[in-house]
Amino acid sequence: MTETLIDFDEVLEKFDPAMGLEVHVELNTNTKMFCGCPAVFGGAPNTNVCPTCLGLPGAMPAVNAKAVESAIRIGLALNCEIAEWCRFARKNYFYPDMPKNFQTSQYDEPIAFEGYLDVEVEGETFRIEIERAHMEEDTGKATHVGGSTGRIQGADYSLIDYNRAGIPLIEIVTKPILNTGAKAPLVAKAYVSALRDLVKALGVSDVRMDQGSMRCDVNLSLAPKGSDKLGTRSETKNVNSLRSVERAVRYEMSRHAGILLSGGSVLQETRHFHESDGTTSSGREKSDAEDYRYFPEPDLVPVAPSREWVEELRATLPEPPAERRVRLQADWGFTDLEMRDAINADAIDLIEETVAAGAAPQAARKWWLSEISRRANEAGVDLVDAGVSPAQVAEVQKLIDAGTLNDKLARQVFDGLFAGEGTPAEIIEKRGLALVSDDGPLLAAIEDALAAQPDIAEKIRGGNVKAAGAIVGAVMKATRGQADAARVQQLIVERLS
Amino acid sequence: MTGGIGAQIRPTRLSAMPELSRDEVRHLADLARIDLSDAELEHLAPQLNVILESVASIQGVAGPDVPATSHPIPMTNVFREDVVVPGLTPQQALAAAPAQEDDKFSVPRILGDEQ
Repeated sequence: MTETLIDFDEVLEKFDPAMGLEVHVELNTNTKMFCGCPAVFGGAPNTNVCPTCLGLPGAMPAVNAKAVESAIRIGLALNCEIAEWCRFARKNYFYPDMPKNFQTSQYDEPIAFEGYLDVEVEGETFRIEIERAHMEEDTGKATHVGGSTGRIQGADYSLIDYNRAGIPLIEIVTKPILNTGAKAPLVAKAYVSALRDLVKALGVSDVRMDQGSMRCDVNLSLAPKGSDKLGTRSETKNVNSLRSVERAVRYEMSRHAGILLSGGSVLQETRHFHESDGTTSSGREKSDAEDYRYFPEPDLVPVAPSREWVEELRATLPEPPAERRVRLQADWGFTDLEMRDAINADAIDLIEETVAAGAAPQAARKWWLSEISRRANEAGVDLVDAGVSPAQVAEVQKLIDAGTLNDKLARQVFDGLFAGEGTPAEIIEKRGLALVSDDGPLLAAIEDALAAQPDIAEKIRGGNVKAAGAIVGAVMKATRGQADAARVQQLIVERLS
Repeated sequence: MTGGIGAQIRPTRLSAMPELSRDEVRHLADLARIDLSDAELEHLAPQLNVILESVASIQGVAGPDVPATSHPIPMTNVFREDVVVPGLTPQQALAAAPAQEDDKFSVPRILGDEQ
């Protein structure tokens, strides 16, 4: 079905967006939520399973203390209240990704609730209110066999690997995010980014969106401008990169507006996001499938974290990302604009690691925000997945500082890095990129250039040092850019004085 | 929201249990993926009502002073250390599977959508 999409500016003239973001974070505990199986996904199928996570009769779950601790720390970092007493509940549904026919989750008694996270977008701070953060378990992985697309539709049968079933998850749900207007897509991205930084700083998850250890569902609705009523929402799943969060919000705003402006009504449904073209497509309609018949899990006793334990955990919280940014900006001597650009590009961690590997902050900023950002945009990937590491960037910069490379040659080294040709040193060797450090060939090239342009040589002799630029240019051309321009300039002046 | 027994999953204490309608029974059957004919619905709805009435009589005994409970023993915080315990081999895990392929459980074509 072809969607009628409305231009983003027109959407904003007529509607106010409301968002709700649900983020699942897979904890990096040693074991699963309710059993002692390794919490490792991706190995040989059904190797990390036991009677409990396979839902075999008589098996009894037991709560992983470390997972509860991680949940509380995430809650505290999000400025949440921590429940004094809460229970797990069974979420009943028939789908073979959970062999028990229910997922053990929390329903109306989340471990953490009523928090907030402040995020900054283009100099404006938005307070994202957190509704709840609750504990649950991940599901198994289904592979659909047969049919033409490898998807559920048209599949002949499905194969299930339960290694992931039971890995601890924390689901973090925002309250409706209102009054963001044109910045809605950026606010959504900034929130997920800030949440990722926060959880990463806590050390409780790998938070790799590309690997599924952090997953985001985007709820979006539009209301007529000025109305205080929320519209019907769609829930977009599979939004698995920061860039996709922004794109999904933008697309759904345009799609909803297209439906509403043509007099239609938005269907409350699940949508699937498509990374390839930034569109969404219809999943299932929300109807009685939502009837999960939650009830308290009788095999588990309530979790009642003592206030002493909560305060002990509060004392372990790391430096909040917002404060860390203030500190880093001071350390690096970045202007507000430079810092904002770095934050928007999601380059803070990368710059920090590059600086730690020995590069000057401004040099690190320059490479990540220009050359590497450009390539990441071209490839349609997040900066962190662009294909170069902070250590490599630092190494390239060291070679520049040592006079082995100039910026132009460094860009060619990046070409090699993106092409996977090896380390910077190997690429320089293979591509013959190092600057000519021996004066001999440079002097020869200078002689040639001076002979070719005697009038310029005369001007330089007459004291017009600027005129040397033409000779430098000729030498650079003759050495295919592999000369150190400053050294060439110096040699010209010495030669003619 | 505070810790404590949540209103939504607290067993509802009703003085008189309303009768299950045929549509409600059909809905329950749909949720359980059981295909019931109209005749079966006619037959089963009254039986479910008998069960509900029995539960209602228990609820009649428990007065407002008896708190709802989800666990018979008043205990909290039964935790397990985050230490790996050996589980099953794939062969053991799959031993009772009606069908398998590549060490995975093979299940019939799934209608509907992932949760």
